[in-house]
Amino acid sequence: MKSVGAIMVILSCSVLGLSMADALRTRAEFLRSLARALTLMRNELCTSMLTVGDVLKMLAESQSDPAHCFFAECSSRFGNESLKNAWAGTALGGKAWGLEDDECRALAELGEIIGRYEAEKQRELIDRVIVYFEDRAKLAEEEKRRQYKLRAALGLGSGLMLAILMI
Amino acid sequence: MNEEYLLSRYLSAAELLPRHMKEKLYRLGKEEMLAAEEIRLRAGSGISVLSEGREIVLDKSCISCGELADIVCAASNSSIHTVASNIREGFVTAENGHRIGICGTAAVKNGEICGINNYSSLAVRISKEIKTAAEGLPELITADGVLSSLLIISPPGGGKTTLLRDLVRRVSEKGVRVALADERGEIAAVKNGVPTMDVGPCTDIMDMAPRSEAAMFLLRAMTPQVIAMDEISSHREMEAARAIAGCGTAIFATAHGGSMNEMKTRKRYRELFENGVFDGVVTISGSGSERGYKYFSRSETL
Repeated sequence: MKSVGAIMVILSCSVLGLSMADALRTRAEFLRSLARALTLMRNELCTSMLTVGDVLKMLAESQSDPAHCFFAECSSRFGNESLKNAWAGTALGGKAWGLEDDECRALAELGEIIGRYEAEKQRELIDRVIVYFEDRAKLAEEEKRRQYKLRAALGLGSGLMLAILMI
Repeated sequence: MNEEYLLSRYLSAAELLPRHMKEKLYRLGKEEMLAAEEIRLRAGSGISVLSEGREIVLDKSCISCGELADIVCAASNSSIHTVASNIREGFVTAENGHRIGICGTAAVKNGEICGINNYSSLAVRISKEIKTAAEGLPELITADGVLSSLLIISPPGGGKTTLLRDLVRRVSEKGVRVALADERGEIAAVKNGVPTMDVGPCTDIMDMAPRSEAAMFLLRAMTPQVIAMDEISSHREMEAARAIAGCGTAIFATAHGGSMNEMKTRKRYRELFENGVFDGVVTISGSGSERGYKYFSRSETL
């Protein structure tokens, strides 16, 4: 019975460690895909001159998860809410994809830029946000590289420790 | 005209505004709603409705220029960048064909208006389709199928666009290929490539492009029998009209003006008449139910 309990503890701690490590991977992936999607959005808005509604729909269809989730949610909210509210509301829920508070805020503030200015002004302002998310993606990637194995090993290690103590 | 239709147009124009403004517009009497031509909003002032030529002040509570900017932004589907060139010209056309005239502090570069900051006033022109507007005008297609070119003249808000739209529809329904250069998007009110106003089955539309360029593009691309364009006034538009007439294509156009005599005194228009670009001119006088047309043949324009 004790052995079964020990195995359960080891497994639970390992899963916990892996999920903590996976959060790093999800975050880095989301930041990367977000920066890519924002670049595409900037081009469609400022070069192709598409409307914001069309661009949101296009990104919701063309992007894979997790960026897809963000644009799909924003696109479905836009229409029932103003663009500013739809975008900010979606962005402030960004923690679900591993964004930190200041990243959520930076993303939410973009809702006050898109669609409100002429193309060139908009390009300039969106570019700043893209650079910000590209930098954050690099940092997140670095953090993932450093901590992914550590977190997974910590999970497994603490599971083993607990199991030894139990036995 | 159908009361239900007129009411729906008034309400759809009111829909362009935020809720607290809409509620004030719903309180207007039914008769005034039916006759409403424009909704006017002024920063630091309130909302009024232009009906039968007089302005009815509905509310004097302050509107901020930020609220006016939000209305313009919403009318552009939250995509100001797609209508920036129109805003520089002083208007933006909403999806349902209502045109919003914009006034504010102009940003000027090299002597030209390159943008408008701090909106001070908006005039929402309620677009209406009147399918009897062109009744009473002379026949523009002769028995052997030759089309006459026509210039429609009236002061601003006189009903030129409404008359032009109905003229286009009537001619198009007779199987004539009409090309419509709809710079402001208010004649056909195209949405996703489909006109929301009835401009006839044989009408090809190029909207949101400068009239003169759109007209020449349509001439090359769509082999029209008639080209229709609203409000010709600049040198380029006059040149386009001359080029169209020179190609044997008829032209329906409108221009701001008070009377035929006044138009004859304006050099650019006088030259168009002398060059025989138009076979006739229609002037519109009065407003609302008092509106009347007067036709001038080519010889009377000289």
